[in-house]
Amino acid sequence: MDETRLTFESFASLAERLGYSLSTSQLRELHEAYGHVAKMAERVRGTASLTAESAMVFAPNAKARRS
Amino acid sequence: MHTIAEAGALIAARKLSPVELVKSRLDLIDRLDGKLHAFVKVTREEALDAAKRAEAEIMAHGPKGPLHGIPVAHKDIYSTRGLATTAHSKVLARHVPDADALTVARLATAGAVSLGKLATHEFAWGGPSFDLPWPPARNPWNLDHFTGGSSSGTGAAVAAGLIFGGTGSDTGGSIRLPAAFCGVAGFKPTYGLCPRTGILPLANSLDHAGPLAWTVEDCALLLQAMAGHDPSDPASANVTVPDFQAALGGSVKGVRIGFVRHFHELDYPVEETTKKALDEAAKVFRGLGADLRDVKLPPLQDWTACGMIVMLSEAYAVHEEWLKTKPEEYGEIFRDRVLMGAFLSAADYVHAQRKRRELCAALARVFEDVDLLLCAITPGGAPLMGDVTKMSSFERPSFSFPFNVAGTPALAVRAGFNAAGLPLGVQIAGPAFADANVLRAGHHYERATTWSKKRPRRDGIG
Repeated sequence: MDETRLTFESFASLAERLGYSLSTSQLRELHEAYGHVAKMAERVRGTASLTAESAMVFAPNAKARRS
Repeated sequence: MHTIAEAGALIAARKLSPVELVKSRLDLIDRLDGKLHAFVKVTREEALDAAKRAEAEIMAHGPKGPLHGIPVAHKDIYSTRGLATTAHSKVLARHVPDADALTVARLATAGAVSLGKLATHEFAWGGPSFDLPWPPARNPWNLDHFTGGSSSGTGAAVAAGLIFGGTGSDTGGSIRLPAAFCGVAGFKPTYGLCPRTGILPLANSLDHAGPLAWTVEDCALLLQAMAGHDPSDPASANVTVPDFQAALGGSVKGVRIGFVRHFHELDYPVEETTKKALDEAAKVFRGLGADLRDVKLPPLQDWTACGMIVMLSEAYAVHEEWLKTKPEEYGEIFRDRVLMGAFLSAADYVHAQRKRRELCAALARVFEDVDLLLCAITPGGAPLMGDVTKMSSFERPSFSFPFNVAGTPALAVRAGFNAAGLPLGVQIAGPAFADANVLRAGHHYERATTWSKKRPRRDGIG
């Protein structure tokens, strides 16, 4: 997989579809940083088995008062 | 200047007046904070009223405990009733909560006197920023240098002696990094030990509340008041809170400490002075009778990737609506960092959470053979403010993230100074709910060294 996953054009298009109106210079800066983030996302895609569950931090027996 | 433990003892013996103590801190704030910018709001009148009440109570009935009459302050993501809680952001500039965060209330109940609200990086992640309603806090050891963050104001205020201790939050290192760069002690407790009720979130599954203070003992005293179950926080742990101060006694003789050398020698090589400080810390622990041995964990890059994907995803979920409706109210650094979360998928988040379980399991296996870990917290002393770039947190691994990913307790404690006179720190970590053991090790390390004797020069600030 390409290390940035999204080309600049795809990145800009996705930003627009997500509802963000960003300048070209901002898009370029964000796309460059996205290269690092995409590498991290790639790194966590390991070789876990099909039944490997996510880490859970929510305690279902706690009585949550907050909405 | 006294520590909390020392001042508390003097107050209990009626040799130190809380009113005079609070007045002396307010005077110091007047003198120094114009350049330090540790506070976003000083609550002078309320603090003096609280100090007078504390003094009257102590004279009539004796102190409630070691925090009674002690000046503290709160990171400005901790809700304060009737007082703006802004996250250092224009987005929440007019946000006035109708209740205190539970930890704020608990510290007040213990008798601590709040002097106000402290600077933070915007929403506990975006700094140092110069386009927010308040300037960023400065490092008291050298005003041109970074405080670390995001509990930047707390680190700066404690180091400069404006307060005796304060609150911080830690999602990826935000208590321990300012503690290390500002040369104080900062403790991130086990996930869920301190309730986050009333604290603005960055990333819920990584957010921890905790204290910063001049010494580890003082962190233990603050933690004692802050910790304890609260059902309003779904992640709050329903466990018995130990007596942290009592647990500082004893020794570290025979304690098995795993030295995570590969973090700072291979994964992210640190500056030579930091490497020496780490080796020296290991030597100090050996001298105290601890059993030091090298251990191996998954590489720092794995922990950082996992933590960052989780943090970006959760933080983006919190801010998505405001990013779309009022992006101009954010500072550039936080806005652009958190926007990265928009480009991650649900699958990315789930993969990170699956990786997180693997990493936690690997850490648990290491803790079958050792009681504590010793490792780096920063690659060197505080960088110049101008050298911290907007996207730097994506470009290099983090020494602090592993213990947010795992939710295990971790302490930053000072371990020397570099050639520029800036503090250096080391990190001590332990398994979940071994908070007292981590604090004990840090306390004994601190007492075996002389680093805590040196304070920043106030004439260099004012």
